[in-house]
Amino acid sequence: MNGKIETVFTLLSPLSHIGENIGPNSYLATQDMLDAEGNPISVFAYSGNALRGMWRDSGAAYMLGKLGGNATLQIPLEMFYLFFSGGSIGGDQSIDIDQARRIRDQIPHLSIFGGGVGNMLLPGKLSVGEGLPVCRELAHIIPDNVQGNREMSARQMTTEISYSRKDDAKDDLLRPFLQDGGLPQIEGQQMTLLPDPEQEKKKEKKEKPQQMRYTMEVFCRGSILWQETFFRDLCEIELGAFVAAIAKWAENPCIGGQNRIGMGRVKAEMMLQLFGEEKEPFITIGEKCLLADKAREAKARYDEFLEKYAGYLEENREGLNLAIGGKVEK
Amino acid sequence: MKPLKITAYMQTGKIATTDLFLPLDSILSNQWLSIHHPEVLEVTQSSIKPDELIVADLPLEKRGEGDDWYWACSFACGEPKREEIKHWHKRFDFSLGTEHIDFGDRRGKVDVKSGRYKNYRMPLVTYLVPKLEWYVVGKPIEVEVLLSYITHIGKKRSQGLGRVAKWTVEKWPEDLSHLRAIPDPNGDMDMGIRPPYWLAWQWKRAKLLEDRRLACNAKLR
Repeated sequence: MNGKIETVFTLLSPLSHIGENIGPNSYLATQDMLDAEGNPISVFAYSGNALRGMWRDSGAAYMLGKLGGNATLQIPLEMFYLFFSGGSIGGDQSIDIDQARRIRDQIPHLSIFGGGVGNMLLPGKLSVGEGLPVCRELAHIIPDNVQGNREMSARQMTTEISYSRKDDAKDDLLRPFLQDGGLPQIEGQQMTLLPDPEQEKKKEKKEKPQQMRYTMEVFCRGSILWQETFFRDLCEIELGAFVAAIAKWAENPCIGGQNRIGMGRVKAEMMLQLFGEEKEPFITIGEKCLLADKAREAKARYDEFLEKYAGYLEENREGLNLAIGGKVEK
Repeated sequence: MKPLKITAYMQTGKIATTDLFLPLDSILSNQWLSIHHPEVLEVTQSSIKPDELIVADLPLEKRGEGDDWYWACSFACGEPKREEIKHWHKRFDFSLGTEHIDFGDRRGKVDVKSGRYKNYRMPLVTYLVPKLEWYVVGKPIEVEVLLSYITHIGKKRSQGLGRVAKWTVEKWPEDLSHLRAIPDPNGDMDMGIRPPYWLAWQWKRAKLLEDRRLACNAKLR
């Protein structure tokens, strides 16, 4: 099947997506685009490559979780790199279309996200577009049904947040926990008559606090991003693999950086449009991840497939290695 | 077969390409293969042997003699507004690695500065183009059917670059399909004259007109 999934992300917390650093300050990634009159403008956009990488990670983690049963399945480094990062090209495996087909059949995750296996590059089946903010500059691109403020410039949707990194080693209350630092520093100590200048220099260097204040430009909470993911030639199991990746990501629905301090939290509404058909609700991600019928059925097919595969792996722990290595039975 | 003008209206205008040739016969060939011979697109090939090459049966007029044949289809015409070097990144994810990698008897160390697992920050040449036009001699309805499947053009389509918002096909009074590489023994360079254009063994000595309508010439101005 061919079609697309349109996603509307609503930012529940500020979004950090760094494009440039100047000193301790970081600025949002912007891109050149065309406005309604066809003139170049620079607007914030959330990279399609970042989204794709994030969903690839979730899809691989989901697959390994299912295949491992109750335990987390651990795999060799080469395979980890292939599933989570797309692998690399190299080695002695020659181009073998039949083998490429078998890999696609046996590892739907790899089939949709693509990857380098030996000397072969398996193209993925997804085209993950950029997250474009609903704003004045891009109002001519965003479909009319997408909510958001089309009057406001994307520039007005950004703000700056500053943080401090404190050097706790210089905190007198915490110094007792520091080896050789048990005594609080007391200023105004009696000076020795002839201080050693070298020692003084070393001391000064050692005592200089390692702390900083840094500022991040972020996209504001409440802003809306619109995004399209196109897919081609997907079978139902492959669509299920994509739904599974989204469902796994929905366990902690964050985009961008600084998630550890609560940034980039989103809710998302995904619509499916098969080629030549109308749009229909597909996945809703809020406090819970709700799958519409088509998404649920596709994911069930994929789960069924993975369960069978897990059974096969129970009997043959090398099965996955062999499938990738081109030694699987035909 | 009629002279036609085909226009791609770009969504954000962003397209990744180094030369701006963007031959439409190549884009149509890829689509034709995905319909009639999807198996050859299962894997990206760095070369194809002459006896394994599948030539798409495009709804375009064939021109030229013998092995110098080519499709009556121009290279992209249009005026790029700006060139921008974008970067894409590939990073090894250590936090997921600690959870999922079984190092076995090997040392649990991954070199991300060189070798197989190297992290990348790759530059990518992109252009901003509101629309691109091609001139062909072909069958309008069949061309439209092939175009209806094509959502992206250029490089890095997987990252959403080269998104086409709309295609139009219209009859054109003039045949401008010669705005392309034409085989010519006195030509300027060896280059592809038909898809797949990257396939070096079928390159020919060819001449590309210095016509200002061509997007590749606009870039050079």
